[in-house]
Amino acid sequence: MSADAHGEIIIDKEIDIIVVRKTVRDVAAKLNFGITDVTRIVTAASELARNVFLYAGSGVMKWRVLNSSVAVGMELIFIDHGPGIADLEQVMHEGYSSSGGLGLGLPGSRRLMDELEITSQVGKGTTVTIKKWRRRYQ
Amino acid sequence: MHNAKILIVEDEGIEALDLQNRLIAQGYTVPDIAATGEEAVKKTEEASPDLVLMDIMLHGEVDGVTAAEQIRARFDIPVIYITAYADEDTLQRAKITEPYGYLVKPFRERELYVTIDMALYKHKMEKKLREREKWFATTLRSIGDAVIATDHNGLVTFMNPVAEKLTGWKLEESQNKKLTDIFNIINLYSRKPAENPVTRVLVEGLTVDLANHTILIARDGTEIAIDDSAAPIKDDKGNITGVVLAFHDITERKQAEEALRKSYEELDARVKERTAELEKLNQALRVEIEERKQAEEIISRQTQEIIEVSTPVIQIWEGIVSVPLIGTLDSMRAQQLMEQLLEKIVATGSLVALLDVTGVPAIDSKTARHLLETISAVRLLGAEVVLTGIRPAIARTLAQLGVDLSNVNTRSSFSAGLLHALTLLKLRVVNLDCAD
Amino acid sequence: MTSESISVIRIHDVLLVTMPPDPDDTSVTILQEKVLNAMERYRVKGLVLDISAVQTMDSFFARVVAETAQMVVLMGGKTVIAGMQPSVAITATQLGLTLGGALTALNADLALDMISDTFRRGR
Repeated sequence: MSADAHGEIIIDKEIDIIVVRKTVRDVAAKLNFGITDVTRIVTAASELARNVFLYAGSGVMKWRVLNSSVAVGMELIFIDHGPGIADLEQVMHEGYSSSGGLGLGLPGSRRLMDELEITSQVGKGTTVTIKKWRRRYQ
Repeated sequence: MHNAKILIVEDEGIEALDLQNRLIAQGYTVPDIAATGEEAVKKTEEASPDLVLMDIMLHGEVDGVTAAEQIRARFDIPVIYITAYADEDTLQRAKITEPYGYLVKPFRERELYVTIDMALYKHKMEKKLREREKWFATTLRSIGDAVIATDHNGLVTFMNPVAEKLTGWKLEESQNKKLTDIFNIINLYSRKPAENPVTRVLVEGLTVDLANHTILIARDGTEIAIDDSAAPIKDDKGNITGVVLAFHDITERKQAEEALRKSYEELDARVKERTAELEKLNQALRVEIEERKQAEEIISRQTQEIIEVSTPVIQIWEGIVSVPLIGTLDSMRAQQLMEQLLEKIVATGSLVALLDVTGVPAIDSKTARHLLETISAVRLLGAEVVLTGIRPAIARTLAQLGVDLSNVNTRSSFSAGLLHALTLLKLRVVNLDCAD
Repeated sequence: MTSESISVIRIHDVLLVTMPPDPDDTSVTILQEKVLNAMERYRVKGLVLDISAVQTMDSFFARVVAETAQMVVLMGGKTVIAGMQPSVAITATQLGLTLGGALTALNADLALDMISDTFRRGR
């Protein structure tokens, strides 16, 4: 996988969540992430893609490969133009969900990933960026 | 001009008195009357009149023309000649003295007054003009810029001392010479003659600035960088009657500019040199970083291998795997442990995992969380964990941390844990001697 | 993956469902319906959900499984989740997933053992 590989997937149907999972799994596997990390990344992506579909109706996931001197990484950005989130601190707490789900999406994804960054504006939309790194050994 | 002081020079006493009376009656002052040329000069000096009425024909050695000449040369007082007749020769002589008027006897009274007033006025105006000229000349002489004036043909009419100094030509020598003869300018770079600004002013009738990089070649060949402008001189009707050229030496400025440019170049060169050095240093650093990175990677890989070795998951019985934990349990080790343990459980189909913490010096909340996570994950697989090696100190710490181990099988020693594991598998350890 | 590909089979007194590797939300939801219908139709002691092929279990999937297990319990049965892959188990733990009243087993064989006497081997 080339260093500047990237792509994006439109999320506006339920089945797109599966497309997101499949794409993320392929990319993560090609980057030689271990099976547990692949599962972590795919699961976090699934959570966030479902959030986009459920709360905003539609959006996009952009993925790209990250390269640093000591690590390779994968970055996923979920962008929607949905209702946005008024209280980010609240949603990052355990047990919160605006649609009666388990409320594990954001805080859970944060635990699965190395980095999670969220920006949101009420009425404008939400952007969630997650990253996972793998140290180079060779 | 009333109250003007008029000196009468007349050798005919009666005529003199008559003239005096008429002038006084008209409001003039007549301080004295002179009868001879010598007297005229002397009394002019004493009375300093505003005007002298001079009879040309005087008795004595000095006639009126001679006296007038002396007065003009010494006192700048206007003279009007009065004469009954004059031969051509005398008239010619009189003309040279530039009289302000000429009255031929007999003259009418009105003619007298008009001539006097005209003379006074003309003298006053001339004096003013002279003062102005003097003022201009002084100004031109004292300003720092060089000034050269030409007439409408481009012939030099004036130049001030600065212009003399820069061109190397004296005003006397250059008067009526063509400007181009004394004002030789070229372009610094092309070395070709620069456009003569005076010609352009004469053609265009506008003020022009000299092109940049103009060099004046002085009479002795010295080259001087100059900056200048030329402006037309126009008369009342707007006709160009000449050109004024003003310029100054910008050698110093040029030198300053040059010095500045040089120092900038030096600075630039030094910056480049330094940049190159830094670049080299940078390159060396990059190489070093690369080497260190490789070394780090080797260390990292070795660390990884050590971790793997340090958490060996072994099957100790069919259905039972065991992990003896030694040392501290950081996040990375915890992940490794969890993955390896779960893999082993699945691979061996084990139902019980013994997690022995005897070798762990202290358990903090983070380690406790890792352990609980591991236990949860193992349960999701469908296996059970028995935590062994819980010494009193660790038990107390866990209680203080509020770690809930109520749902976890814990045993103080490994052997006790093993027995419990066997029980879970519905196996029993029996003493064969006793069993018999 | 379509809903048709997930089938609920009855073996003696146990319902067995084998989950595909990457089930979509609709399939999972339909599956719940199918299980409840089958529970109603047959007299069974419980449900074995074989997820050994499942690569990803996110909160939605886990919630439906937990709900189903809860309903099966309410209908007097047991639910056993069988064959969860280690990577899925670790991820589920870190994500904070819980499976309600569902039991777990290393594989479907053991899961069947846990529910039905018919399959219980003498251990």
